[in-house]
Amino acid sequence: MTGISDRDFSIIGRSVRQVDGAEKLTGTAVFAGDVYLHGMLFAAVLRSPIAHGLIQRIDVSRAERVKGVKAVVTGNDCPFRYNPPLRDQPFLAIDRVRYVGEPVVAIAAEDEETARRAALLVEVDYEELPAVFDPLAAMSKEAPRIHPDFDNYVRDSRLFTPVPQSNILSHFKLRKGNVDAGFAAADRIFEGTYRSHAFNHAPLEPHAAVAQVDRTGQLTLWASTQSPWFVAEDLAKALGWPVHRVRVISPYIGGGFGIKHGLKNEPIAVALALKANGRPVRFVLSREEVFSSTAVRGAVTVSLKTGVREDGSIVARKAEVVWDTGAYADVGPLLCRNGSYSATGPYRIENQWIDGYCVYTNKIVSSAFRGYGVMEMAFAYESHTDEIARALSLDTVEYRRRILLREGDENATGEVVRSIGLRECLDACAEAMDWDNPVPEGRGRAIVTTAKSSVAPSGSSCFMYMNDDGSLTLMSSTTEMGQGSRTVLSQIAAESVGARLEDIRLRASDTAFTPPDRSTSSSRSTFNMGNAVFTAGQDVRKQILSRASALLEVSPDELEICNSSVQVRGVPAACCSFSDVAKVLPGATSGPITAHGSFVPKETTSFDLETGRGVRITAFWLYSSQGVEVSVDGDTGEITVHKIVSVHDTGRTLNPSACAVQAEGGVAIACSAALTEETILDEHGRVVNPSFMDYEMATAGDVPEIFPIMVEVPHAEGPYGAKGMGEGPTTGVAAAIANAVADAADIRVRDLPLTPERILRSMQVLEG
Amino acid sequence: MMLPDGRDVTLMVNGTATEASVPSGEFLLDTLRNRLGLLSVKEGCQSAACGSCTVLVDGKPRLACITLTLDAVGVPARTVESLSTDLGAAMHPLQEAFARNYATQCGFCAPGMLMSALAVIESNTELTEASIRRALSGNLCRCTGYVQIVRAIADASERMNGCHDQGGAEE
Amino acid sequence: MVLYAKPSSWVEAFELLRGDSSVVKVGGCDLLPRYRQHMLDTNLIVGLNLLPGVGDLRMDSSMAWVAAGVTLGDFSEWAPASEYWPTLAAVAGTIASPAIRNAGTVVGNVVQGWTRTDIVPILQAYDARLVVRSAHGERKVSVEEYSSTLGTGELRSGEIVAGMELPIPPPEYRVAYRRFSLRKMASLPVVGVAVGVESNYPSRHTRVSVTGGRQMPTRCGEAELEIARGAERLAEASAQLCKWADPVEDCHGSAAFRRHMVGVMFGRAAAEVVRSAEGVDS
Repeated sequence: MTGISDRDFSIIGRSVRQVDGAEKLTGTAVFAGDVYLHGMLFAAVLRSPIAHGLIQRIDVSRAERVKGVKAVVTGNDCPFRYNPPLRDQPFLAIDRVRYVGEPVVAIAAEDEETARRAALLVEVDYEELPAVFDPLAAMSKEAPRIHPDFDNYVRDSRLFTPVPQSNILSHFKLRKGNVDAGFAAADRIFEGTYRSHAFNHAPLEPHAAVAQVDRTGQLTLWASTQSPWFVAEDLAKALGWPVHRVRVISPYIGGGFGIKHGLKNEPIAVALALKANGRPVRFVLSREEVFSSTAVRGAVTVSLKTGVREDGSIVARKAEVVWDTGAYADVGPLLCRNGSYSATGPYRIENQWIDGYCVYTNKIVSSAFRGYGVMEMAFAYESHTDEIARALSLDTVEYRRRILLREGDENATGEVVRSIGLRECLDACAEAMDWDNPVPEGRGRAIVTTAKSSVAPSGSSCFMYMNDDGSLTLMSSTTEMGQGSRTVLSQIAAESVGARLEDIRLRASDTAFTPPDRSTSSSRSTFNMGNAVFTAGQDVRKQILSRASALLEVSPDELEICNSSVQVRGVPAACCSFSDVAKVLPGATSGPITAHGSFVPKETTSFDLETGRGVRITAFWLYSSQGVEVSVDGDTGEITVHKIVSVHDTGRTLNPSACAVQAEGGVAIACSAALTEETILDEHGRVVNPSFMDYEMATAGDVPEIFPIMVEVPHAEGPYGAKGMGEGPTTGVAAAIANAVADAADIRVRDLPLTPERILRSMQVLEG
Repeated sequence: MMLPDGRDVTLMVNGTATEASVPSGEFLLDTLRNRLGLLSVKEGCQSAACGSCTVLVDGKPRLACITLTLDAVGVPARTVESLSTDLGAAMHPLQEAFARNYATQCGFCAPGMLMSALAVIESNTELTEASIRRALSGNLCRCTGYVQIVRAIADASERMNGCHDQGGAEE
Repeated sequence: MVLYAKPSSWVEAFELLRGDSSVVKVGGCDLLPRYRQHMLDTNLIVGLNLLPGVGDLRMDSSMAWVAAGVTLGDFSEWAPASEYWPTLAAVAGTIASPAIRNAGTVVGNVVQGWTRTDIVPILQAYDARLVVRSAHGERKVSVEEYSSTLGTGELRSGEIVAGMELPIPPPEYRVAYRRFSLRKMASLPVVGVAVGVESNYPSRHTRVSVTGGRQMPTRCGEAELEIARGAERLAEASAQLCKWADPVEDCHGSAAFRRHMVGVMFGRAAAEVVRSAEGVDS
């Protein structure tokens, strides 16, 4: 088991160099768009120009006749739907289109230009239907029904409850205590509605896929997908195949942040490959396609009502959350659940009532984003917390100290929280922000605290075996998209065996070889896959000791392992290397050293669909505290962020540099999204800024000074006590900036992004 | 007066003269990737706004996605492969500095970023944090927040341009 | 795929441009992204980069000659630029990105008729004029006049912009430019205001040129008249400017926001040059 010990670790806890750094820096790292196969065809897609309509007629005859065109596919050629836990999304539109940009016809040709020219020759007639873009309007019974066949979709009813005959595909409920009694008993009531906007994940690598169906019917898919097993299972289910018939390979991924979790452009490549007579089909999205028709982090509105006593302690909190999921569900139902149950914040609140609504609209699909709803929830609850503190004339940090959940408290879903590093994070943040001293003249500041859960149930497995030269091959499906998984898993492998880091050979992310893993998402890999690796490593270690004991002719407990060699304790000369151990001796009764590791967090529970309660709905939480110092230009409304402090409870910091840079990157995205980014649609549902020219993502000149700090409140079940931290950094920044602006300029802005125009309007400087 | 499609040209890339037959309207990005196999040059957008395809032409940063190949004939061009591709041996000091400073995460923007970095280090510009950031203004990165990239460039510049400080975290 | 020709003489260039399906390219920063996005409606791109004199950058006693092929980077590093047209040199050396500045031309910013541009208001403040050449001769058109038309609409069929004449400003003339964009780097301006005055106040030669004030980058005569009267007329000039403004609304900002920001940028730019005009710290 993974207990915490005081012994020194040789690799864990050190900022070892990234094991994949050289590949990336020399430009030799292979991404899915770098995969070129003999006979490869190139895809182009014709997309819907309207937001909602019935497809009356598709005529592909002229396209089919273009020389070089090898496959033309419409929705009727591949009438499959994907996306667990609500399988509503077709490979290509079948009878209707539901958002501008929805794929309707796909073409594969000898080269991209031919495919594109052929796509222009396709004729599609639509009967336009009224579209609905506002989720609140979409919730009403009078709204156009976006999925009239909803009841026919395969769905996992254990996970969510739809509202029948409506566009509300999920209604999450959480009921704890008695909020009405709580409000009645409160001394003061506070209310606020907070809006987070739609923005794009904008990884630098556009989605890329190459699909090939060979003569045996085996599908191989190279794709920039974060979660190869998740996608293999989804595709197999959609096609009605066994999962082993779908092989998914994820090379290095050029940034994911959630937009590459789950099927995105891959179904189109697969649909074409099914008709391409064994030829591989390449489909790489244009940047415009990524921005306008793939996915966004969708808009969310949170309304909070809180009853407090005079001292600020919270008697009751009610939350209503509306999640705009766009035209298809994607992660909508789960996001609605996991986000909504966090809507009230990591606070001691006896009485809670949460309604979360996941709503279809005729817009680009909303998908997972790093933080999985907590960024949006925290914008609401942390803004709200500051509003309450200020109204009660309480220091905002001291107020949080008082009301934060503590070890042994019960949280919103009914879990008794353990290994909760919230207070530690808050204190470390306050110190780094020099909170006890006044903020410099002309500036404002704020500190927030957030908590984000990691998905459960959630299993990971890996294989490990020793090579002829004593090095160790580790086979793991966890993908590497910049978060540093390859390095940290190699560290865990090396530490758990006693090997040198350079003796770990990681083979990753190929479902033909690397065993099942739920996903690379939800900050889950260090904990889950890390535990699987640790288990395998311990097994390998035992096998090594057993061989070495035979070789060195002592009992195994007289041996110690270090740096890929085994030594009799206290007798340096009596040793052997891993490569000595690797060789199978004549007459040996054992075969090669092989091991597997498998891990599922213990005893996680499901949710009660009526009360939203579950005593252990996650294996661990990510706790963070972030502080921001800003000034506001009263003439232009520009917010200057002078610094951001970002504190995270890692459980145990397995690699300080890796954690620090994850914090820096996550903070940078969140800061940029909060200040200058938005995916903007016109009145026809078309994205008007689908390029880096008009989508204002931070450049090197736009990111403030960032100070990452890690604290460690070990987790009993984590590998060496580690949890995860990748998503913590995005969660609190928007709220912290809004609160700091309130501190600096005495204005409360509850809508994101915090653009200069919005600030000026709040200051009532603009007319009209 | 219309030119035939397909010109035989000699390109000077990474110090080597290479013959290629390219359509007159081909972009350098596609020539480098598809004909010369230099897959380090990435395509991140189609509006010349992300910098992932940054290469050096005549020592100056240029976007390969809006450079026509015929405009790069007879002029030396460099991609990140010119620094080092040998995973076994030591990398170029600039790549070493990036590795030492954890300045890459997903690696997609890295080749273009390194080319812009190389250009500013080899220029006569005085390197300050501000001038480094300005030099990177055309290279978007989503993973790192640019923090360690800026540090790595300052670090590399010290080592390459002759400040002999040997300090700094090293593994 | 589109064909690309690189004529080595002006005669050859004009020949290739006959007919409507060919288009001129020098820096390529406007044209080539559109080509890359498959939005070009043309069969032939005619690159002028080999034409004699296309890279000329020189000056005489009255003006500079900036030929069509002079890049923003070239211009910003040319010593006389910082001496005679410091604001233009500074902005040319910092906008967009190094890679764009190594390809994009000074003249291209005007020729392509963009609505959002830092260079055009500054060129208007410096009274630059374009030299337009065709097979039949040359004509000159002020930047101000050229940029009142969207895109390349000012050019007639078969015309090429050969370069730009940049007059040496009057001795005490100073130009300041202030602009606003959501990001600090690599972004086009939402609004930008160039203010030029002579330091021997009242100034006869004043310029107030705005991008983002109206659809096209253009001068505001009313503000120029006010500012000419003296430093105490700044507030009135600002009021005139805001009244004159008729900004667009789009995803980057509402009309009200742009109008407000025009006023703020004007105030900041004017404060710099008026202060220097009055000899108060530079």
